[in-house]
Amino acid sequence: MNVLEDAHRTTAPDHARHPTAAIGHRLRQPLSAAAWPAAVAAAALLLPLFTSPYWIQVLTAAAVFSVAALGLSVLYGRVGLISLGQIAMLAVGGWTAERLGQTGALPFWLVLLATGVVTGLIGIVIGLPALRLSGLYLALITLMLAAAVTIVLTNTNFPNGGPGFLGYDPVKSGTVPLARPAVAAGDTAYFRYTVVVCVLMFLLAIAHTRGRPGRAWAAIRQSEHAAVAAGINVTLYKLWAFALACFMTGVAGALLAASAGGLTVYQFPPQESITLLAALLMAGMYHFAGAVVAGLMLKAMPALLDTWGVSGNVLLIVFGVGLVQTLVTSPEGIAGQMSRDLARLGARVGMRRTTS
Amino acid sequence: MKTNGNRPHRSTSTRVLTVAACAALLALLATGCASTGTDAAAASSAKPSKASKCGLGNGKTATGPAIKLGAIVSDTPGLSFTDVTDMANAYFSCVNANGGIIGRPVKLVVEKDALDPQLTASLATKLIDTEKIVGFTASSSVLDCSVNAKTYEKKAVYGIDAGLALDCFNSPAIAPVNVGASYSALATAQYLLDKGAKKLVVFTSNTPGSNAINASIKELGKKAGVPVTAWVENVPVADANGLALKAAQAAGAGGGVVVNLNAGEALKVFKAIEQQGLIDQAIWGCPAGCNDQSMLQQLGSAWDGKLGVNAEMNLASSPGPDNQLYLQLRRKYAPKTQLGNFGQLGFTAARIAVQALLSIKSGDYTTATVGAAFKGVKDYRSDLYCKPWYFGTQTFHTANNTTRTITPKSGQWTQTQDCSEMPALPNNNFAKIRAYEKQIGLG
Repeated sequence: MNVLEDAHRTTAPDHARHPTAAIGHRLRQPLSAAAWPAAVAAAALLLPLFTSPYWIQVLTAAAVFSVAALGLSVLYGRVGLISLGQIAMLAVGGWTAERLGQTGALPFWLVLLATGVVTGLIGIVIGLPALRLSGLYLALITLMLAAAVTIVLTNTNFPNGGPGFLGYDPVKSGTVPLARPAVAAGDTAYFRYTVVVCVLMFLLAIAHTRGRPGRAWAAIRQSEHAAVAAGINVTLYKLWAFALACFMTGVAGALLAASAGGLTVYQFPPQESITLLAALLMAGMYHFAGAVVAGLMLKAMPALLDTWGVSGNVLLIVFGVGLVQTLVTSPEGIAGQMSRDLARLGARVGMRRTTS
Repeated sequence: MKTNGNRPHRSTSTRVLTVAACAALLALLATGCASTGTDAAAASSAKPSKASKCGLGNGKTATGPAIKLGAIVSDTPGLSFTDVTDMANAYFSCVNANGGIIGRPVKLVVEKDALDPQLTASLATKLIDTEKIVGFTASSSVLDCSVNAKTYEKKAVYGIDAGLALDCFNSPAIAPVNVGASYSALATAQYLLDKGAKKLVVFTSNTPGSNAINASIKELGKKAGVPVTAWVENVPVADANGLALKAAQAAGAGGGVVVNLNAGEALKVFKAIEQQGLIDQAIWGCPAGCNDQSMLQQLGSAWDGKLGVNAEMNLASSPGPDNQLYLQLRRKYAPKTQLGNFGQLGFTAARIAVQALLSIKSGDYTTATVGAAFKGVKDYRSDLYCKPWYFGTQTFHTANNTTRTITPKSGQWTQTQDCSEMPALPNNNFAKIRAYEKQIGLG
């Protein structure tokens, strides 16, 4: 057993380690998983009323990254497959969306969907090594794939309205963002649009985990051999997980392509996937709300630190220390801790009412 | 008496020794303190002029609400332009200590971006909508112009910046005080032709717009009837020795090579050229990014007179009053900045901005009034420039279009070519710019 597998098995909370416990947990609280994204969506739709245009842009980026984190949460938190290629997949999604959008033939929502399908198919290809590998080896392979994507993008660049398959005009300078839909041309409207799409991605992930794939993934995570013995098609469900994660991350990449500024290859360094993993472990790998917290940690926290006059680079140190603290004392992460604390609070309030 | 007669003698010699020791100690201290590009390197044989004054120069501390200007500067490991904003801030500090803008202080709100377009876009929004800045000064970001130029134009927020990307030079809202990477590479190629290069070779770091730079030099070669070999090079350079050899072979006998990489990467290539004994096989040139004190220190004497570096501003050793003020302020407020180009650009941008702000007589500083004042800057003269700078009303701006070329010599940058015009080509705006300059009486 390698190091990452070991860490996974020793740090995963009870309901992550025991599928039946997770199912029981979900049965007791059927709406809890859906309540998080719903609450976030409600807050997000109201947020623009109380915040500045700057924070709208920051929160748009946070929402996009929460979907990238969600993809990783599905892969690692639900199936136990580690992928360090999520940020590269975000870049591939961005490239695909820009190229599709450049034709001007497709409406924005169809560009999102088509991008998701393309990255989902790529996800299946990436998932092939996962059929034989896991843990550290899979992490290394996905990291190498991410590096390969970076090298390819360095040479091809993001489409900027040029001719040919690549859509890149080498003489033209600057970045060209994907055209936004007419209903979301402004930053505030686009933020709301992004949040709605992100919520749909979360609901898609929740639907999967509650259905047959979720049960299969839980069984695979627990023991691949036992899953095979139970008649689960491990190959199918592993590839399904990769396809789903990459579909969602691709859609996030498309959303990023239309956010302010366009895309450059420099914003997708392969090592950023490690930061994403660290943030997600701290935020809560085994709770979908953790993906939201991870998105905020990656994009909103640097902005907050900057507002306080502290360099955003400090965040890497904070992540390092926080990760150690999380793995040692609270493997469920911030989201798990919050969820438990809220449940306790709810129970106490309920108890008081009953008593009175 | 004898004793008395001897005492003064001993006392004098002791004092001489003490003074000599103190002088030596002070010299040592001075050497030790000047670790980042010493001003000794800026020493000039010409007698320095009296430094220019800061703003009103009345010695009164400015009070009251600050007039806010903004800047976005790239600051990532290996790619930092904070010297520009640090020196702009140094000048504003001096202005604030000398009467400010008719009594009011100026505050430069600096936001540091990385290479993330979303971050760069959000920082512009933050500066304009949250910080309520009234204009931009000394911005020096890799992505700012590409990402935000249209926003600045739409919101009518004007900037006097140090532009990096070509978009900075093609926006009605931004007037750079510098030449920029693209035109600086072009000026370097022109210098190589002036030196008699029979062929031009250029390799540019692979970033958005790098092919445009190469295309520009190809156009220059076409005009001069000289063959051009150009390619983009991925950075960081993986094989500096191979690249050096490839460039030298491509140049052939009597060819000229433009090493269009940032200072750190270019230095790797120059070291490889030196180690392989290729220095004399071609004429070597580098755009303004190489105009860097640390580059000078690391090149060594082998490159004396063998490398032409385009200089957007005058030498840091020049005796003019503006350069003397720059040196004074650097010593006082920003000693950690590198001596030379980037600091001079920030200083100049701030100086022009202050001149514009002082021209607003109403005391009302809004984006509209400051924008109008910025646009109204005409005939700004400085010993750091070859000719007057102006903002202009055109949709493209490159007022700094006449530059010098410098070369290392005995541990100092020295001028090897005096002010020369950027070549006007079909794919640049210099012909139109010069026609406009004649029209406004600066040609």
